[in-house]
Amino acid sequence: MRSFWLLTLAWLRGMVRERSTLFWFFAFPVLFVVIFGLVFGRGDVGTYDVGVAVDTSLPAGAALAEALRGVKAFRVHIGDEAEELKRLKDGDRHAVVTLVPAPAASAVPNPAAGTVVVYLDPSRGAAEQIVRPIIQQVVDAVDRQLSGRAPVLALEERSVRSSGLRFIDFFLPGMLGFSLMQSGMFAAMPLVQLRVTRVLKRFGATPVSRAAVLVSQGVARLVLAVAQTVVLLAVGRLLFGVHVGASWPAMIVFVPLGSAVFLALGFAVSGLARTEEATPALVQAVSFPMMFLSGVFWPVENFPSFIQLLARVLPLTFLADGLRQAMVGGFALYPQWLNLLALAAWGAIALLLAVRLFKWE
Amino acid sequence: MGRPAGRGRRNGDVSADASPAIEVIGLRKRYGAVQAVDGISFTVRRGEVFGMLGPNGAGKTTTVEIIEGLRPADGGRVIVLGLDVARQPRAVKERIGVQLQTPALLPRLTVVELVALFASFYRTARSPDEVIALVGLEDQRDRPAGALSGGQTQRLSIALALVNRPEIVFLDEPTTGLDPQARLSLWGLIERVRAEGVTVVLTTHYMEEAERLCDRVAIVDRGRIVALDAPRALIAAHFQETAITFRLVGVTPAELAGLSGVRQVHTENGEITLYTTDVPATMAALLTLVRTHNAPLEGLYVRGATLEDVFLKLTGRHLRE
Repeated sequence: MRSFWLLTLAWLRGMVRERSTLFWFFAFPVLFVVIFGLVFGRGDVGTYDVGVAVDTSLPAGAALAEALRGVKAFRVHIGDEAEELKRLKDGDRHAVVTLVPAPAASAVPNPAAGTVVVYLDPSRGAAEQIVRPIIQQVVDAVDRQLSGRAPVLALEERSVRSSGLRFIDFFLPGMLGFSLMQSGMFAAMPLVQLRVTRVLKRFGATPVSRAAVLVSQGVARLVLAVAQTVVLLAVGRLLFGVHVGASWPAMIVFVPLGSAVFLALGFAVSGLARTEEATPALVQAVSFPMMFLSGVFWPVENFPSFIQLLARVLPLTFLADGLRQAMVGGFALYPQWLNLLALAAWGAIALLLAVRLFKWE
Repeated sequence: MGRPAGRGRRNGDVSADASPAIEVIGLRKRYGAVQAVDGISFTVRRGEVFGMLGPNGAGKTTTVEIIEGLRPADGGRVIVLGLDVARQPRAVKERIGVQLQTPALLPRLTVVELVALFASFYRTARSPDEVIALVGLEDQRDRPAGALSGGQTQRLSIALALVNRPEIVFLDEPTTGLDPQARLSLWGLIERVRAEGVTVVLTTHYMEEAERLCDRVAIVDRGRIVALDAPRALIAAHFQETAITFRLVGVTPAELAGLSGVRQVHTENGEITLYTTDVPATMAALLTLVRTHNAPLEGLYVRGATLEDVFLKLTGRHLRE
């Protein structure tokens, strides 16, 4: 056991004393977050143009328009229905809300009664998913207000959540996922180094077990992952006020699980690389496409459908989505149980690859 | 190059009181089409320095790595300290120390960190500072391994091999690539290790190293042992001749072979070596020949035969090619 901890310590010392490690695993993601945060941080991912075409002379219409104006995430445009619908088709609106008053001969003798019709553009997936529930919520609130029923407690929490999300809130968890992927997969570097310089072989000439050598490497990488997480969360929280910790239990599950998946991939890649020099290229060949396809920089829904098909099943997609929900509690692509299951499945695949491909000599 | 005191005594009667350190019986190992080890058998006595001498690719390293439990054999048996390596590799590894051909170190760790790490792998181990002092690296104790010189790196590598107080130490070409001074000082270290009673198995392709350090030498070529004995005995058994080497233009090998006492003529890069059983007669005849040709005789020197000559005679090849 002592040898296990000394090995872990040895790997950690090796990482910390290597300046390039510190740059790639800490400075690089922090730099990314800061730059993206400064450039795009103020532009809210959650700002949506909503056309409102209602008769404000009706109490219901006035109340609805006012309530929609009160939603921080919405830029409300009051206008004529035909005009607003045209804007929606042109892509200038994320949604158009209209109110169809109940016919005068209605059985319900309420002059405010009517049907709220929401027009949405399904091709703008993320927007649709975010805008629809907010409008639903506003309508519920107005409905309760007009009918004089007591508001539901959950209302306030939901409105806070849906209004505050900015690009940086979307980006930071993705960047964390990306960093965890990088540090996991770049474990291939020291592994190839250990093999090429025959340190693994030298260890083989001592009674230390192979499992201790490999597991300690994994533990050291996990420590690195936790350190990265802390640094990125701190940067996000302190510099950009990103709301972190929507679900700490989910964080505690996703950070190590994600690290483990990519660590196993790193072990597999290390077996494929013949030389130290070839290793980073191989790692990047796997990680670069994932960086762009897995919704780190923009939502996966923005891709054309044939790319989405691939993008939606990449391990980093599940990790980024899981982390996003765990950290800021928004932008959900999948339910968390599915993220968990998919990552576990990827972990199993990666582990199989690692066992097949990893080489001691 | 003085020999350590007590060497003669040890040579005399080491085997009587101890079971062998290593017993190798009919060892075989094939890599694809290459039969790297082709039926090697030998015994290493406790407390001796046992050398394996041969060119690169002769099968020395493969043989040693099988003995160390680093790779399986295709056939044959290896008993180390009474234990079957194939069956109890871990028990064997507890009691041996290994230095690989290329020093395998973690460059970012300091000397003392590396020694402590390796010490933790064993049930019993010396204190790191004791081992560091043993190999004379006290001044480098807190320097990263990657910043050491070639000679210091080899010392560290030997330190790691000694950390568990091994009964047998395997040194694979420990002085390859070192400058003469570093080599000399490393030889001194190996002699100190041996003086502690540790059995040393040394592979090398430097015949001076084998001659100076080894009690017995196995000459390995193409996966086989072609000769095995004490260095002096090997030379005596294969060479009664003395070598006379010089440069001389304008004489034919036939003329030289005809000189009194000459048994063999070897010419390489203009340098002529005569192997003779009668140095005075050959020298006299050679000088007469030089006078009649009126040719300049250069770089003349006379030396006894070496392991290199034995190797050349047995295998038709040089140790270093």
